[in-house]
Amino acid sequence: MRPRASIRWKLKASVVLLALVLGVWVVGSAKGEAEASEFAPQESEQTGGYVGSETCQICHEDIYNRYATTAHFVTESWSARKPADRGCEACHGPGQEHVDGGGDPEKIFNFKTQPPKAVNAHCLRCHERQEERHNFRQGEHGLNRVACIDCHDPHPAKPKEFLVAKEVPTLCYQCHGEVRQQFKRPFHHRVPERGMSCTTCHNQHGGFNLRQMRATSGGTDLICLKCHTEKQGPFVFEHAPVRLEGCTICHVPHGSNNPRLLKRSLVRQLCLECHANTPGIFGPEPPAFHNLRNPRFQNCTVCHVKIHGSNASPFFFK
Amino acid sequence: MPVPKGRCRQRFSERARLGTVLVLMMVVSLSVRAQEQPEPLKWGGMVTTGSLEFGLRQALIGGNQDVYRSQVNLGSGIRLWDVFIESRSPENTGPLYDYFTYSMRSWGGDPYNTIRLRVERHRRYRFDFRYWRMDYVNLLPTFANPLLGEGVVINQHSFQQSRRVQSYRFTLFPDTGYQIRFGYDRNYAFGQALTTFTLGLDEFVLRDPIRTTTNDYHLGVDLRLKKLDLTVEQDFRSFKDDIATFQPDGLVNIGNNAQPGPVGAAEPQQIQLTSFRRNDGVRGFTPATRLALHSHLSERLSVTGRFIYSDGDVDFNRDEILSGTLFDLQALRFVTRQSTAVVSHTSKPHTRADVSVRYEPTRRLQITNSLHFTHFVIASGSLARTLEILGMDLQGNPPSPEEIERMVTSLLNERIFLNSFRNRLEVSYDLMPSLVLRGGYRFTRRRAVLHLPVPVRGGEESVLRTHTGMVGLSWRLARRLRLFTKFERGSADNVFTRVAPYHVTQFHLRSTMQPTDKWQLSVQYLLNDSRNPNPFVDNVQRNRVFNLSSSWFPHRRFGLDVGYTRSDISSVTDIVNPRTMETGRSVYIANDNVVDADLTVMPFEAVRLSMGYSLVNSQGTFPLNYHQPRAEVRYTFPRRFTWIVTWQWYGYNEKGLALQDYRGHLLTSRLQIAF
Repeated sequence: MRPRASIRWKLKASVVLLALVLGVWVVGSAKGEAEASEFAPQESEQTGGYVGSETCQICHEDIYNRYATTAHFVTESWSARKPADRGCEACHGPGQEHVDGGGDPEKIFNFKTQPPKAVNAHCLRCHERQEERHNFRQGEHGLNRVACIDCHDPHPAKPKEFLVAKEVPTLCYQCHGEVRQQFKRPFHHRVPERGMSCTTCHNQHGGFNLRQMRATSGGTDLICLKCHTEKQGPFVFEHAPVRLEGCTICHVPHGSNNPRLLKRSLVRQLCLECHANTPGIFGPEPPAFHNLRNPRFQNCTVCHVKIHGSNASPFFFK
Repeated sequence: MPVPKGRCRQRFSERARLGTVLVLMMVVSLSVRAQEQPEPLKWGGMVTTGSLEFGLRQALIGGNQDVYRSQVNLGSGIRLWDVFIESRSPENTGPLYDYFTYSMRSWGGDPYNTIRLRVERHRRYRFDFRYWRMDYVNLLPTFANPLLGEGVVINQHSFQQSRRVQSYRFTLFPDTGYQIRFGYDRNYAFGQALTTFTLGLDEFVLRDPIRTTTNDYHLGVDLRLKKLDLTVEQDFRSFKDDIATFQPDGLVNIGNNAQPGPVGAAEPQQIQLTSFRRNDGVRGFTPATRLALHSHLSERLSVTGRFIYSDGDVDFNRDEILSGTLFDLQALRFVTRQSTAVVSHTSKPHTRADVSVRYEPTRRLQITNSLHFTHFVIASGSLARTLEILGMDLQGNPPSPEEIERMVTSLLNERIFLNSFRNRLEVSYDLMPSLVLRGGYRFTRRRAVLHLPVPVRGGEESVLRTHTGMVGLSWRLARRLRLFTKFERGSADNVFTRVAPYHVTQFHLRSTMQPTDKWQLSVQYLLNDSRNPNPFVDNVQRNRVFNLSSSWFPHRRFGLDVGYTRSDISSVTDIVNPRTMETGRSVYIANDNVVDADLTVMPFEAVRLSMGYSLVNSQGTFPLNYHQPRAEVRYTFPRRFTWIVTWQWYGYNEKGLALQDYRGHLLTSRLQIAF
């Protein structure tokens, strides 16, 4: 008995997709190390002889053993690449003069003594070509000369993912201590509990948005809407500030004493700061029968339920 | 009922055995000379490390359990705290993969669980999987509760929601000259919730279960050419929300306004809802195309840019039917039955473009100019038809045969248009290798046009031009002393719906110091003031935050981590109602002290003791104290096993209103196995 038409179609589509993937795989494998030249970092300025990582290992065995457990160690196997792109000397520069000088630290690139701009230029020679880091030099961290090694440890005792020196958010708290205290408040995003991370919302390497915020929907919507998808809309009746000004006009994203991470403890305080009877405010003022001394009218969202936007009521009643 | 002596002896002997085992374990652990890291497992060219942590938690909660669940929500039971496995081929010669890592956190009943998986073969493929599950509870008695003053403790917008997010990413030829990326995300939220329905002069609490599903699809290609990096990505987001709001059968809902009044009055007790059913269907689809490029044209000139276009569409349908004795303010009659059907559509084409040019004319000077364009239009139309069966008027007169049925049809359109341009020019100069001076200017022009439906307001247009200047510096005064500061003054460029732009002053100061190798200090001071000078709404906001943190580990057996934050927030708004000429003032003040301290001591090699305390003390509009003391003991057995016992206490106290207070002890005992 022949399978149904829908199943046959799915089988054919699966076979075609599998063949496509395998074909791409075969073509990619055939390229071999030659493709590495297309990913060549920017031309190195360093001159002088290269000695190879085995020579470094002789004196710096402890560091070498730690480096061997990291992702950078893969460069040792790039036999088709220039020595400037491989091993210890890919970062520290040619080591011949350093060896000839009996280990003179002045004769090699020392990340701890070089200024942050030079350190960053070294790392970005290879790592700037990923979109994540396109804006590092003009981002807040880059402009403030935060060096790559302030956050990353290239040869750690125990390697962590992405070679971070400490786990996020402990790493971020070193400079952003006030944020750590915000997460101590009763209502907070679950960053300390490891439910999410600073880098879930912020691009630590810089970006086009203010405060290095990430985005969703390709980049047109706030990062908040990555998880809180029911707020994305578009709605038939929009609450203008949500679209024009963003979620932080009412909410504190890190932590707050107020429920729902609101900026104010009482709902009406938040609403009345805008809806306070001023013409041209892009929204109505409370009508006359809203006696604000009556607790019934002090809880705006009891009636104006769909405050992020409604598909049925211009007053967000439903 | 007294316990028999035999059972007493049995319990005592059980406890004695348990205590003996504990003592023996402690003695054995204390006799261990050093906490050596276990050697990684090596097999088949792969080096594997990992750890497993599981155990038991007991939660003892007193006070308001609902508020505890809304804030902390940790319960009792067996838990899998952490699983971590990492397997790597140092030579990248693994049979199927070169790198594998898997981790799980907080499984077994905690409100936030995560899974992460990465499998990678060098330059061939990379697969990432992530899973989050978040339980979010909001059962606060005071939030949006109009009946609190009458002693009714219910949050009319309570909910218990669970959100599950899965994320799949597959990359072909990662870190090569070209790579192809496939991605899929699924976001599913479900749970129980309450909402309110408003009609006439009353609000009714209804059940409003949550059920939303969002699927994201991604396909992207990254090309790395000679001097150009190019990314093309196509995303699709489909959204589905099926909402069934209802009132349980047989329930007579008298609403929030339960004050009886004389017959014929506008607010009689007779208003009640006897049945309610509403079915909403939301279907949304948003495709987005993104093109990004980066070019290092020369050592001193680079250009980064992106162009994004998305076009979201949402279709909405509603069927609603209700019955009872309600009051229609427009018909000025009671309503015994009402049915509503709504069909609507919204679209949002959105274009965004960003370009950033960085130029270094000299080695010390860097000039960056960034341009940002945003344009979107939200256009919507809604057709609603409501059929009402009318009853008596305020005088008790029944409707005539022609007046019994009332059909209301409304066709509403709304249009929101935003056109925004922002130019940011920033100059940085390396006065010395350790000192960088920064200066910048930001200009924003935003034009927003709102065509709101007539019941709300007609058309409005606003054009804002804001200017902001910035100066700052980054100074490495010594190898272990760094200072960052930035001062901005101008108009806020993200505030729109107020009449005039906010005047904003911001000052940030951060400093990190390392007096010794074992001691790190950091200081932050942040100031953010803004003012709306409109004569009808004079809003003044002042925000000050000061933080001091110290991390001191003079010896591997001793460490002290301390932090203090002082936060002062003040917002004062004067309000005038031009219709009633009623004046008022809205004031929000929060003066917070947040203290956090952790002490770690290792009296013996195998034993580590930690004690900590966190306190949030808030004065002002919403005074409260939030205490979180904690303690931990860790015993490390030979090489691979660590036994951890922790105690944490939560003490939440709202001053002046004890309704939402709670206290809780959380005891955990867990075993960590490393391999």
